Amino acid sequence: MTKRTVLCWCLVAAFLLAGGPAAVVRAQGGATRAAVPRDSGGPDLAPAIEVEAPAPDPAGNVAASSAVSDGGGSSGLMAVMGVTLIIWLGLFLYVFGLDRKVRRLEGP
Amino acid sequence: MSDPVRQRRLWYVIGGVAIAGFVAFGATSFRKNITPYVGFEQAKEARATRVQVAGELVQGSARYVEASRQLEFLMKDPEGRTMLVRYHGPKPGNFEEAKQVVAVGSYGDGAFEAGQLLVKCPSKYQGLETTPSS
Amino acid sequence: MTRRDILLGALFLWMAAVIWAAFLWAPAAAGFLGQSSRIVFFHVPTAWVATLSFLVSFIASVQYLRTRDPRWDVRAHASASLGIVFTILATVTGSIFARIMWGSYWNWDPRETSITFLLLIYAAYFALRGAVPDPERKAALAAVYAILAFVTVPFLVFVVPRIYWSLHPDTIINTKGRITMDSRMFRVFMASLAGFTGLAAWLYDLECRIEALRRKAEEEIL
Repeated sequence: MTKRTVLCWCLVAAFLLAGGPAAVVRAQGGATRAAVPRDSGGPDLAPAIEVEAPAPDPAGNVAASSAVSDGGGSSGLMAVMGVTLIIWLGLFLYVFGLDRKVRRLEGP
Repeated sequence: MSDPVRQRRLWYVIGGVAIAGFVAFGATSFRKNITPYVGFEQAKEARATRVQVAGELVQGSARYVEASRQLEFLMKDPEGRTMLVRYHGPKPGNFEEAKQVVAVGSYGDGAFEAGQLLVKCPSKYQGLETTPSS
Repeated sequence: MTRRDILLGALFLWMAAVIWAAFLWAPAAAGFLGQSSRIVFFHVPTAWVATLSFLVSFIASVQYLRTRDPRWDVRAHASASLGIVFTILATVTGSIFARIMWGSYWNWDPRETSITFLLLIYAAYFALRGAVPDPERKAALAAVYAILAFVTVPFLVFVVPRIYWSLHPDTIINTKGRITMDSRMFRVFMASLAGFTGLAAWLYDLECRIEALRRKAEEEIL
């Protein structure tokens, strides 16, 4: 457990924590970019809405659900969130383990 | 140099001079070198050199020729001068929303020939439901 | 279960809640492609933590020169390391966002240029540390350098984005000093700032303690 390994791991983990979501958001944004010129995803007004996506309203995109408009939508967001949470859990457990070890080495 | 107080004072002097130097450096040389975007005149002078030109997209001037996959539009600089830009490639997805664009390419043949088009959308950290859709 | 464990548990839950809210509670913002605006909850806090770390490194360096206490050197080094890690993160996430929003991973936009300067300036700090073998000399030189390096930070992080035209979305606190952000987004954003700051504080503390242990072990060997 040298300082270098800690730093390396923090770098990788923190990268994933911040870069993971970005990468998936990128995929979604990329799809929108290529296929749908005039749309910027739907608003997730509240998580409750995603259960039953309302019919897209052609007049305004007030109620346009992201599931319809950008190929990933709420389920996509859910997946990204899940991945990010798992990464955060991994990072936390690892650093917490280190924390414990340091406290043990420092003695009483 | 054995006297720690004198040594420290020396470091303070060196530090002060260096800080002043950094500030001067930051205030002067960065000014021009930090931005890659050049004005229309400079782009025309640069000729074959690849440059990045930023400007306002003249609303309604865009014309897309499907056959040759060419996008033509007018760009306006802060002084109000306009320049014709010919872009070769697929239209960026958010081009319709763009207010300002950056064209990457070189000037020639009466127009700026862009190989790459970067767009800046008027993004706001506001929920979609609050903005009127056009 | 010590108090520290409880605090760390709270940090874990806090960040988990932030992650949930960032993706499912906050709305997507207008003018951004797809869901890409959500990166603001991750990209800006990394940049914030980086700036904060450089500030801590600056303060610790000043303290080292005043007191010559090696513990300040440890702190300066630890926070500079954290600073550069989070700067790299901000660069990578920013580059990905640039690809989505304006269509190029890297085009030397003023924002991209200024963060490159920042990375190079702090990379030199570590090069300097590596080049001087004598610990006291290393600490003193590094401290002087860290102070000089920090002089550029306000300029590169706060001034450049506000005076140069850039493809980068407007800063959260705009030039008029007003915050224009949807209230849900703003709450998630602030919570994320707090969470990232907590995470950085934890990593910083751990880094300092590990370094202290390492130095102690080295002394025992010698």
